Amino acid sequence: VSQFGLFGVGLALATPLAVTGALVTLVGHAVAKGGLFVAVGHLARDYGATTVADLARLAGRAPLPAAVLAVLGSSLVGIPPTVGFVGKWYLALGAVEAGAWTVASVVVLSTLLSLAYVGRLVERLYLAAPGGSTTPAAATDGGSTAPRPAVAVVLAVAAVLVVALGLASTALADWFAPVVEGWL
Amino acid sequence: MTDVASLLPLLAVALPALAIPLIYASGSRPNLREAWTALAGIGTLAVVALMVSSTETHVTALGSFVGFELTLRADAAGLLFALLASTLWLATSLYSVGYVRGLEESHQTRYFAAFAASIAATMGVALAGDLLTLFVCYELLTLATYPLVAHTGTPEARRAGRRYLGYTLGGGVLAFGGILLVQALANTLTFAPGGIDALGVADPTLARATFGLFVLGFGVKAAVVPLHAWLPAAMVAPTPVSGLLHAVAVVKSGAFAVTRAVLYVVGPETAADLGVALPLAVAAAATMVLAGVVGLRQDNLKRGLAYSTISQLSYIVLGVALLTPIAAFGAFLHVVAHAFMKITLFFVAGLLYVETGEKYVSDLAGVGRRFPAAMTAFAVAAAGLVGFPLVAGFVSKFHLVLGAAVSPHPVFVAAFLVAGVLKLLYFWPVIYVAFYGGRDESIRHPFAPAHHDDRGAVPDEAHANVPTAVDGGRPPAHASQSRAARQFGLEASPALLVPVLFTVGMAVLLGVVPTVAPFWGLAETAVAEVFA
Repeated sequence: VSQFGLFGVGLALATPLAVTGALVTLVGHAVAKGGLFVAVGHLARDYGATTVADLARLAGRAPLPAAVLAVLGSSLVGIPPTVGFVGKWYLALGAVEAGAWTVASVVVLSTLLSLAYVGRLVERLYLAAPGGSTTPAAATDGGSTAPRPAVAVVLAVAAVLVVALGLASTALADWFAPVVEGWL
Repeated sequence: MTDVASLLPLLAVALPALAIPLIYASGSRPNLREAWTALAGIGTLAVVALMVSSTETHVTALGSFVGFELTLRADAAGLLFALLASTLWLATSLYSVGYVRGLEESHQTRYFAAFAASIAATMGVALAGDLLTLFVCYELLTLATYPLVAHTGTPEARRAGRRYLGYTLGGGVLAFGGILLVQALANTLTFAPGGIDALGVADPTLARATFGLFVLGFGVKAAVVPLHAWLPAAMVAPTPVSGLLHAVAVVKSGAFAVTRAVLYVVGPETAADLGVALPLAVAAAATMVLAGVVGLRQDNLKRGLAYSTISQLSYIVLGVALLTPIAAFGAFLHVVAHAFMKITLFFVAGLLYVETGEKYVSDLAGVGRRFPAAMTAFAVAAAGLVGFPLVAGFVSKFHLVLGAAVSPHPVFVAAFLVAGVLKLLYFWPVIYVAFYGGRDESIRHPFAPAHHDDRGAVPDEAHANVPTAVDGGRPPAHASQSRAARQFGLEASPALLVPVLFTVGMAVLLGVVPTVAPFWGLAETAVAEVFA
């Protein structure tokens, strides 16, 4: 939800850079959150992990969803070179050039809040204490449950997209340019 | 030196990165897996050496990112850091093999992969030609190091990992703000030796804010007080990680980024005009002294070394903040000197841990007799950190002190000297206890409070592992001695001992003939560029 706040901020500033940033944020957020929901849904369905506590050490048995979660999470936190960083960059640069200092600092600091959540998730997946307070939730299904091909493809595409969109950010921004000009 | 388009800088970053998938692919065959690490290490070192010996400055254009051309540019300062990191990666790889196998650590594949990723990111930080490239690699380095800090997965390690991420990513956000300001003020992000001119004529308040954001942001990894608390906590990581990353790659990336920001973005002249370097110098001097005092109270050997690192990093930051050519030269040399000396100390600490299971200074009484070569190396490296001649630390410190003396604030000479005395007070008991201490005399650390035995073992049984003064001759072979050590009839596994001897040898070599390695020339070139 906080990401949609960023989108609104970008539109409100109404400079080309900020609006570009808003659009990039929107796209990046769609991909990242969509992928995250698929990954979490897959973990819930096939491993019975519905709470964060249930995720303990699932990375060992579900390497793909875990890795995808980590990549998408770093986009939400705004680590370069993911698309999450790109949106933040354009938005904050737009704010700085417009002299809107408060907005700029809010934009820069905002994604750090995601770290509290994403960090907990990833830590749980990879590093939870062996034999800790939670019993592995997936004890019931015994064998390995590789994600169904469709799920695997969606996950992989989402993870590749947040990085690829980030790396191709210049092209992405150019592609948005006509839209941005039209709006302003 | 003229610029020439070349793929060599990219190769230096790509080789360690390429090793990551190969390491994962051969996770079930440890020898093949470690061969990839070794090959990538040798390759990276060779590429960097090639660029060092070349008379041209190699530049790789990496394409456009958020509307900017990312570049890798192997200038003198970058090559100095890259050469250092790649040399020590090779030594650390060998040491890592001895360490993780000696302790039979879990998740070894992830360990070696994350290690390679960290080195790739460090190469990127070193060879970055502009602020944005530096920042991207700087943040990736944070991520790549996280699995290594939290490696053991114990609650303590996870807490340290969280703290590490919070501190460094928080610092990254501040540095990000600084980069935005530079872009807004100067409309360029490319490093310029001596500073970006446009910043000198920009609004002084904004220029000061830029400097402040960089120093606070990058100062986190350089562990300037009060931004240092993550570093002692991160010592829960396996010792090769502490040795390479928390004495060389990560913390030096912070110090290096501060150097880039002060000398290549803001510039010494602008920094002096704005009056912003003095607060940084004061903070660094305070760090040197405070960390030295706190370090005295540490009984845990690695935590003590961490405080020593914090103090030493501020030697570098202070050298840069003094804004004199000689001090900056000393700072560059100290990057190298401190690396070789401190990694030796960590290597020995890890060696003792593998072979005896001890990690507290007061439990290490008498180890000097069982590990004569390793503890002698420890003593030599420690002497270098204190600033004794004929070890690398003296050469760099000499230039730092000289630079402080000719600067407008000669009072900072005192900071270097006080910090040196504190180092002596810290290392002397460690070495004395190791060589002359005995268990019977119940020698305790003279300054540190007694530690709690956190191994849950019966103390007497655990203590029996260390030979006491009454042994006199050869210590009894006991269970905690590693298999490799017994097999080769050495005091420790050769994979652990050889890197120790190599790094301490380099520290002495750089102390006796400082000009023999390329580091001296690179530091000279870098200083000449900046203060032209």
